[in-house]
Amino acid sequence: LVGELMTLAVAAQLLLNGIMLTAFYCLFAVGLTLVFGVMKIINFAHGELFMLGAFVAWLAVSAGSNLIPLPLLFFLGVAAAMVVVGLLGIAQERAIFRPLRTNPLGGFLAAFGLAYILQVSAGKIFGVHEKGMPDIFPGYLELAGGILTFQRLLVILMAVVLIVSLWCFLQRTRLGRGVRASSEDNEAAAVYGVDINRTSALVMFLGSALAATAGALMAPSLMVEPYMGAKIIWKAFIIIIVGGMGSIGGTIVASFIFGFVDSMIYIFGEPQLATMVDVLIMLLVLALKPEGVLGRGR
Amino acid sequence: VEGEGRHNLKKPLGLAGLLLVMIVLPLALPPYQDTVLILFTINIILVVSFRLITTMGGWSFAHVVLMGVGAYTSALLTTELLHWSFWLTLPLGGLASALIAFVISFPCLRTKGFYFFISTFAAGEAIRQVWIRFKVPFGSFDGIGGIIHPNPIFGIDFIGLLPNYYLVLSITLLSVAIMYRLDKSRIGDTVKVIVLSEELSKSIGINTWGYKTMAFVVGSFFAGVTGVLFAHYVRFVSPMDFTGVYMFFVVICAIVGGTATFCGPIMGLVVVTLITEFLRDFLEWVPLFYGLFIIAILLFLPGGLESLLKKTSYLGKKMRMVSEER
Repeated sequence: LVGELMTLAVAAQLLLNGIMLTAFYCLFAVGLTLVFGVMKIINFAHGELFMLGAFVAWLAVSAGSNLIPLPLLFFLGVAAAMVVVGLLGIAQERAIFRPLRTNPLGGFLAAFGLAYILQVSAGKIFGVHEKGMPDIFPGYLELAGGILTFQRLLVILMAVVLIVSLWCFLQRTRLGRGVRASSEDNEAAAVYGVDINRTSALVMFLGSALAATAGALMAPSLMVEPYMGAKIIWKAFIIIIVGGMGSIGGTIVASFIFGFVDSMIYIFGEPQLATMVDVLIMLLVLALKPEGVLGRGR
Repeated sequence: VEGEGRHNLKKPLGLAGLLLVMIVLPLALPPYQDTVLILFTINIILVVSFRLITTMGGWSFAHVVLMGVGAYTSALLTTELLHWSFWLTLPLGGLASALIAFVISFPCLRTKGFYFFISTFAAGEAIRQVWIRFKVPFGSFDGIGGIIHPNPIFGIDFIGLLPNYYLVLSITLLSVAIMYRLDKSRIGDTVKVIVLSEELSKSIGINTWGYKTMAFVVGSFFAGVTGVLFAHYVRFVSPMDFTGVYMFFVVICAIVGGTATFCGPIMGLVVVTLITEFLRDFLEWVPLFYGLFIIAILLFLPGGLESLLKKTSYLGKKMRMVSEER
């Protein structure tokens, strides 16, 4: 009987961890997908935008300690992260991606350079030491023997809210339709009156803000340091490859795949093994269905 | 391709002069500069082989990790258990890298453009995690130490700086010569034609997949050779030797020099090595300067330094034509 209970608890934990990782991966990678869809550039600095989001949340929490309650402070930090890093994304579009629009490889490599600029800058401003954060939402839920901390629950809820809002924005609003049109065919969209510059700035804002949100929400669970983005950017890369580049639905499906695969491997305490298995899955998908699970067969 | 005239003596004379400088230079330099020169010479193979891969249109972001594969292979085969000779593991390290490149080439080359960049990046990361995960035999973060000096040959041992330098220089010259021949051959031309139009090349019966795979595998072979030289010169390898920053360094050399000509990345390497040496006291700032530098080059000199040379020689030709008309 004890054995059965154990397996049920383990299964519940696997499920909860899987959902949390899926939510995190989705938030992290969907911005990259959005940007690639419209601009046909992979933003190599996406991981650094994630890192900066975490730093903004950490700053908010550690700066104004006693006056405002911790959870409110944290939410202010998340909001600030979205705005600050979103604006940084717009600046990146204006300064780097726009002049290099006809040279996607150049844009990609310039973003590679920007990643290191942001890493060194963050290290010089905040220090390279890992920074922990206090427990902002103490306590946890217990579901069938599995444990879900409130912090992780928040990541899941926010991911659902943000992805659904993004979906509605893209489907229902005029601006969103412009984004989808540019993502289908930039030139045709321009002919029909979609302003490419504005659309590009918009997706860079949204994509960067989403990365920052992922960083800010995960900051209490991870160690905040300048290289935290560089360490996991490959994960976003394989998610958008497996999902099919530019496909938001595909990104969600791929996040589910890696969320649950990683959750299973992490339970054995094998983070490096997870990397190897993830990359093998990527190679397998590329070999069998190179356009990705939900890619537009190109 | 113009400027390939056989009776043109400028090129061989220039090369001979360059070779002479490379041979005499270490004798004139203090030991620290000699160590820089050795790493510079090793890096020549790395950037030239990187450029060889770029000629097929894909930038391999696993290049430095594949260099590491060569380094680890040789480190493992020459230490306690097996005691194989450096001279045997030198090609074997290259072959190990080539083999891994071949294995990942099929999925990574199935699609075009960014897929290749970021899938090789992810594959490289996974290989690094293998070194970290498996303490036996790779030593995890501690890496592998106590790697032997290259075994003595013709009564020369490779313990001091100078013999090591000349060893590295000879292997580099040989590797670069082979890659140069390949680049200028019909095969090299075919690879470049495929980049111009893959569909058209396919339609006239070129095995585009085969040529692209070959460029990737051969380039990776030489990355492995670089790794073997590196391992037996530094005599210690760890996963931290083959990180993104090193990869970034190789990419910058390619961007700064340009990849259209054979010499572009070498020019880039010279410039970037010099800049790095000037910034020696500000080590933690170096990636930031690299970043600014790469963005500036991409925005204002997208063809790299080689495009400047081309411009001047084009101008030079025009000016000559004008003066001849007079």
